[in-house]
Amino acid sequence: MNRPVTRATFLSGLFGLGALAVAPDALAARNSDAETYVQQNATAALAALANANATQRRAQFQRLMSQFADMDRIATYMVGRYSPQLRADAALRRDWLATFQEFAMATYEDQFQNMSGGAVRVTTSEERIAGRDVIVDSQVRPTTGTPTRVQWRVLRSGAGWKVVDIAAGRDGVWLGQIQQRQFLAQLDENNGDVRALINDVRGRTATMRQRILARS
Amino acid sequence: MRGLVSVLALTASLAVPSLASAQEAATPGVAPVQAETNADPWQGLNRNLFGIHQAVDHAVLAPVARGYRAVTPRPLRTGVVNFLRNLKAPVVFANDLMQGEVNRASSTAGRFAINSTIGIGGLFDPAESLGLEFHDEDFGQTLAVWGVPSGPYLFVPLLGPSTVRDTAGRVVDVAFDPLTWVGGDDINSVRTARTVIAGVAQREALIEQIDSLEAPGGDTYVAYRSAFEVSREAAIQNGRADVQDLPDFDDIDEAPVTNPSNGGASAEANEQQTDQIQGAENSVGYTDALTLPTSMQD
Repeated sequence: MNRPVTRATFLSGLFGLGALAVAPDALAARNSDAETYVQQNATAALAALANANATQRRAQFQRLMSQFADMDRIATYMVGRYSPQLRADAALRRDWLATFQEFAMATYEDQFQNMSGGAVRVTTSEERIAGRDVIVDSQVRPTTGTPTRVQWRVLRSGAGWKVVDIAAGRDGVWLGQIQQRQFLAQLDENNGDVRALINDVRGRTATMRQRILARS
Repeated sequence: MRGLVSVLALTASLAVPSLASAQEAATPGVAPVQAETNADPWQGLNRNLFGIHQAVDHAVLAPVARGYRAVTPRPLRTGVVNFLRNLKAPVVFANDLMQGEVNRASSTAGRFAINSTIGIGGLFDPAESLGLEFHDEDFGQTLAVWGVPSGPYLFVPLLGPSTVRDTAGRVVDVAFDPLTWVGGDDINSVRTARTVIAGVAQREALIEQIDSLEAPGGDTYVAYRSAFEVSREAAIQNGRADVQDLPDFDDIDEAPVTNPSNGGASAEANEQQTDQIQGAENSVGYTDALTLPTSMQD
């Protein structure tokens, strides 16, 4: 067998392996209701972000996200093992929830300049707890660039579905988990002082606000 | 895309720079809770190494990356990334196999064949449009799949956040790199050029992410470490983490709502919920209903 034939055979084998790899994966338990919720509301969020009027855009998005996302639950999750302090102290809980929500909203605005309009297409979902804890998979296609996988973890609460975390990228990096680790690292170093965390987060939010103001 | 994801991730509080330096005061009456694990026992050393890295990055890497972006069109940069990815395919393939990921190994092999030929030596990525998406693997991930613990967190200047396991894995990956075994008079120059180009291309791709991590007011070291830990874990699981391994959220005390068709809440309820949100958006003066912090209402 001469060399060109060997090379062709080798490449044919690789092509064949590639064809095998396109086989579909097994289906997991889906929840079409959660899928519909994400499809509709993620689309609405992106539409709000396309508003050319900065003031309206900011207000619309804040309004939307405050209902789309379960801010209370996310805020509690963010302090992880220190959350019993919030249950024991109602004033502390209120302060933390308000501070975290402001931080989250400012975070959005700080990053807004890099925002581009796009379209969401829900592809599948998987139930973690039937009927109330679902991971919805989607592809988000920006106006420029390639589509990116975005997963939405939605929980069913009294008023309906709410988003509690989002994973971005092919491997699914849960962004809330990253933020929680940062908060917990600080709490570990300050003996679990949530008040100190609140003060720091307020300072960071103020810094972000100044940066946003300077840009506008 | 980063901007888009940033907005989507708002609900989960996007990965932004961490908090300012920790304060010492303890909360009265609350027993300190220690970290569940101490994965960063060399933090003092790591912070020093991180400082060296940042100095080099700010002086050389970041300016070069920004210059590279400024003088090259996006299609050219994409071609460079494609070429480098294709060159790494043997490393990815070997690690796919060692992890028992036959399907992913097949995908890597198919991508290599298609992109090396139809893709003109890897400059283009036609395999992607055929359903063979790129994925990365390295020996550090293989060791993780084999059950080897990560060991302490380690920040390696110029290479970035890592662990003892992953740093050792880099050495092994060299053995799977075809350029390691290619001879010739100029091979050292080729290897050096590949390393430099890969470094610049990678830094360019991370400009926005690193700018975000290093925004004023946070502990950048912790921000890097947190982002690395979560993303590395996701990479090891190849994006197929068991949903049951996700953390629980407190206060899930409502009864599950199911219907025979899909096990979820009714579509009508969904529509109603969406309508409420969109209706609120469209209403005049809806911001009055929001409980925003004072600074948000300015």
